[in-house]
Amino acid sequence: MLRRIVERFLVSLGVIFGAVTLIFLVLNWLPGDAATLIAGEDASPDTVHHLRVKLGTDRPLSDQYRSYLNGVIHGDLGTSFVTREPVVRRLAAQLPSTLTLTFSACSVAILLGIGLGVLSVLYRGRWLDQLIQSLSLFVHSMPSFWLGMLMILLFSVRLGWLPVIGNGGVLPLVLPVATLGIWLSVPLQRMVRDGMLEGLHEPYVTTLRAKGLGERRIFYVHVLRNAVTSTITMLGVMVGESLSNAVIIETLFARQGIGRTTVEAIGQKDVPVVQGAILISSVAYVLVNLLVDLSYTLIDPRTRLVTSKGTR
Amino acid sequence: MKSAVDQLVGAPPRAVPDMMFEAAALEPSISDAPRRVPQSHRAPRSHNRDQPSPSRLSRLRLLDMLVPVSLLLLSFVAACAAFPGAIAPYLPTDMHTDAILSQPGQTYWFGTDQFGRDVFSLVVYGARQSVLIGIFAVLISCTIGVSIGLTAGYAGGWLDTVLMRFIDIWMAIPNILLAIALSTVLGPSLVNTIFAISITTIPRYARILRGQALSVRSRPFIEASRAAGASHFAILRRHVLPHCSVQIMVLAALGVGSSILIGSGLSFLGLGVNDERPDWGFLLTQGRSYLTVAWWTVTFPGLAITSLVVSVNLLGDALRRRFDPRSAPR
Repeated sequence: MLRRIVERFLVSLGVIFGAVTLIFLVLNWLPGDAATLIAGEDASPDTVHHLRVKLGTDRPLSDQYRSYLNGVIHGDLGTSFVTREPVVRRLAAQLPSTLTLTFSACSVAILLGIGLGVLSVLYRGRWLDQLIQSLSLFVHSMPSFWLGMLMILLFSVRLGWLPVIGNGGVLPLVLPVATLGIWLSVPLQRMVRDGMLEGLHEPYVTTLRAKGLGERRIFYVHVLRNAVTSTITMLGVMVGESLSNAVIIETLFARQGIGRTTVEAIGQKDVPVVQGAILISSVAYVLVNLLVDLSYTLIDPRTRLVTSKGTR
Repeated sequence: MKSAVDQLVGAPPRAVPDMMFEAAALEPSISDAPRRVPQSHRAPRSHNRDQPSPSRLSRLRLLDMLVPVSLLLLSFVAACAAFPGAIAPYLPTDMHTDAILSQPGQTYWFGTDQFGRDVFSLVVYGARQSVLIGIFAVLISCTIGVSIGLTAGYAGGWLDTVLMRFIDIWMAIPNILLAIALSTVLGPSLVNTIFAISITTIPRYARILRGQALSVRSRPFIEASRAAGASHFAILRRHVLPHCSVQIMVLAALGVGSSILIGSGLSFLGLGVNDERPDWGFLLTQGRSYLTVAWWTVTFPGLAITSLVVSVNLLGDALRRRFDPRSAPR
């Protein structure tokens, strides 16, 4: 068990290292020079060169990469091209806001996904199930920001219940969280539904019935638990999606956060900030996946069994 | 073998490649991955259930009925993309300065925007961008992703490990963020947007097709053609690829939808194609400032994106149900 944890941890570290390299290469190696972009089109070659020296982008790529990597290991993500502020400090200030958003949205998605999934199974084939399935399909085919706009139109403009933008307090959080939560709940809902429908026909249910257990108990305790357990594996993907969509949702609702900082930094061609923000999201994604992976091993003994038998 | 089991069991999160694709993935889902491992090298169609999966039995009538509707809608969008001039009543550049932000009505079906442009015409002209993004992004990412996945799954061994570790790293960067990084560096243009989206979506195809290739690889007919002297490339092309064609079709159909969604997200952030050509995502960005006074400027372009994506997803879903062995009645 310990060996497995260590092994997974090392693999995750490797993935993070790879992701750092990939992001670095994408942002620095592909055509498009930050200095030219910042200086503007009508800057003289001299100015551009000056800027390049100042930003440190005149050095060979391998040099830049080495110093960047060195910085990352020591917790330094470089300094912003525009504000000359350390990237870490700038992003750290934005992190709580994004974490609040993504964490609440994921919680909403989990509750909603499981609730709707169970409802769907209870009313399978009937109109409520059909309604949930059709709405799910529709919602997941929407751009998340359009869903947000519709929510604004309904709850802020038409009904006047909730503020559209703002950063303090709970009220401004409701719409962004609801938007992201609803959007993220769809795959969970489908997974719970499919999992339960399949679970109901598993042999263990027959055993439980033969044992004389009530239908209700079989349904809510055993089948539901199994279906929910398997959705844990979705959490990693969900966090990735919510971090991705936070960029869009934060922009739409004019919320502070990593996502909005990224978008601003893109507008200013502030490569270190963009790089740092993507890096933080990737690390968060990899870490959540690692946790999910390990917790799944703890929860589902089958994975342990197969691994020990099949590989070692 | 180690990596095969590892991939399927050891790393549950990775076997669900993407939320949009989760429903589409014909690859065994996480929930039953552990159960299936022992037979992962046997025929993928041999299921240990004696009855068709109940989840497909209680399939939804409503969604089935919508398939013809979505076909109709797709043809209309295709017509808009091909001949916008024949459908739109106005040019997207026409500014009716006497009718700025006017309500939807007889003259302007979807109303007008802040420049007095007819929203219906803008939506019609905007179809081309989305259709082009959907088609070409999928063509590119599907081709590359399928090649990587089939090679990895068929070859196995170190090549498989190297390729899949690379895909893992690729997937560690949340998808929209990778697309953002790419289009930031490349600059806004239709070609660059398509490129960015393709690069972002390659891993999903690779992961799922790898699983497929892995399950086909040790079947007798592959061994037979190997014994008959066929080269690896020929086997991949003539046997493994056709074997996965249904999965590829379904994935591609759903990929069109998610590519369009990523594309609209990019243009919403101002990274997509925002020159004079109308684009649904960018129309939403512009309409956002007038959200409180003119609901129609955001409602209709958004509806256009959504109905296009819904249609594509419905078709993908229908395809899957048609060909998924699990849904076939016995």
